[in-house]
Amino acid sequence: MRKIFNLFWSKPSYGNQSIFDTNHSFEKGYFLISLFYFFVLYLCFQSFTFNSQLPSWSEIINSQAYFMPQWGSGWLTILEWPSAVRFVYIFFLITALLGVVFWSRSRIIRALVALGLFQYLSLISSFGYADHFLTMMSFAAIMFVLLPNKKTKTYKPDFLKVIFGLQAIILTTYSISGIYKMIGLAKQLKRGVSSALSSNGMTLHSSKTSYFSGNEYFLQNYLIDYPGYWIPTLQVGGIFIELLSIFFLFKIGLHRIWGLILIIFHLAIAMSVGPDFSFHTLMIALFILFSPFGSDRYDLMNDVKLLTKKKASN
Amino acid sequence: MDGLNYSGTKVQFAVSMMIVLYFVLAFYPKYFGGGQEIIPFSLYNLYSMVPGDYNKMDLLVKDDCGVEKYLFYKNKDLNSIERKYYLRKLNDIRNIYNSRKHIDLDVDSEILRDIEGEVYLVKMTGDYIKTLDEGTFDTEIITRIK
Repeated sequence: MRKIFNLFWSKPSYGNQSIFDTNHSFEKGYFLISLFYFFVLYLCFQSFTFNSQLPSWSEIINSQAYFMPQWGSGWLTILEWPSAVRFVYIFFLITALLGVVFWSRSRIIRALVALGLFQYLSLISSFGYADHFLTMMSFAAIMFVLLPNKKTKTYKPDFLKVIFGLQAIILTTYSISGIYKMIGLAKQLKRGVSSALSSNGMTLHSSKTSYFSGNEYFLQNYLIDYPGYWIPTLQVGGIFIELLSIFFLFKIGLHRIWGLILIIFHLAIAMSVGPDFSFHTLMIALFILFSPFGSDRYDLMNDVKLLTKKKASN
Repeated sequence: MDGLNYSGTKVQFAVSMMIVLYFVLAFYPKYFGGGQEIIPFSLYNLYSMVPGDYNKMDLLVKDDCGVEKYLFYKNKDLNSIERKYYLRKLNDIRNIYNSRKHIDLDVDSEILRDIEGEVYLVKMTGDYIKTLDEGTFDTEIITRIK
């Protein structure tokens, strides 16, 4: 096990140098985590408004009868309901504000931010089904509790290792999801029923989501009116994007290009099948599209050029 | 960066353990926990299968003027919390009915308390695309509840 871990941490390199040894990566990583804590505050801001995908605070206060607690929100039943809900919101707000100011100074503050965000996610997920659009953000907050103390000798490399660890989780998550979809495809082909290879596969997903959400999606009518091989091509393309994600973890120079591909993937899903992972997309943008590793300047075309040059020289 | 030796630090160990823990907690409910995910660790099998024909339960409500409306299907009056809650409850009802072929609903239960008029438990079967595109599906009244 130890050998596997050591191999994992010794492998990531860019231009014959360990990615954990570069100053510009640290500077960028530091800025990205500052932005992350701002996005947590922004999410908290959204939770008080009425125009986001988050349930409004007033709906939650009026929904005590529908409360089906998750493991993280069971304690709310011991308080008077409106006070308990307001407490979760205020705690989230205070910790998010503290996070923006003090994240780099105190592990306790980062732990409180993670707790505030987790409590909020637990609350909004306690009405029948769990919400998935904030899971990656919550886990990133938990992961950042591990950021090292500034006084330690290995502060900068350790700092970057936490970011790389989060990248590993994000990209592996996609790959595992892709594996399940491949297994699902194989099972449905074997049974001889509609599958991801059918001309109506994605249309079935889209209409099912619509049935549950009551919403209509941008490309839904096209999926229904123009069935054809373009639909399974898109769907299988999406599955391969998910499946291949893990391979790009160690392809440091391709992080940004792959980040853009994943964002386009989520955009295509939102337009056709419906699930809105916009908060998740922010995490992809921060830590994959704007990956602190690789070239010291952000230029996607330059990344493509470097890639083609490298291939030519090989 | 001062030629720092970063191998085997506590942070590296902790991050490695977090990655392992993440996947253990994400996989646990699928294989050992009855499918109920442990938030904030989501299951990975969402959308892994293309849906086939559906078989749902819903409540058909007839008001005093004879206007028919479903509790869940095409009910634009529900907010996001109510949609999730009713979906869960109706799925539970379907599962109980499918296993016992009988169901007793308490008229004072949370799902029925605020509904006025005649209420019927109905089974809806159909194809998602036809339901969305043409609004067609088959219904079977299971029982009158109130």
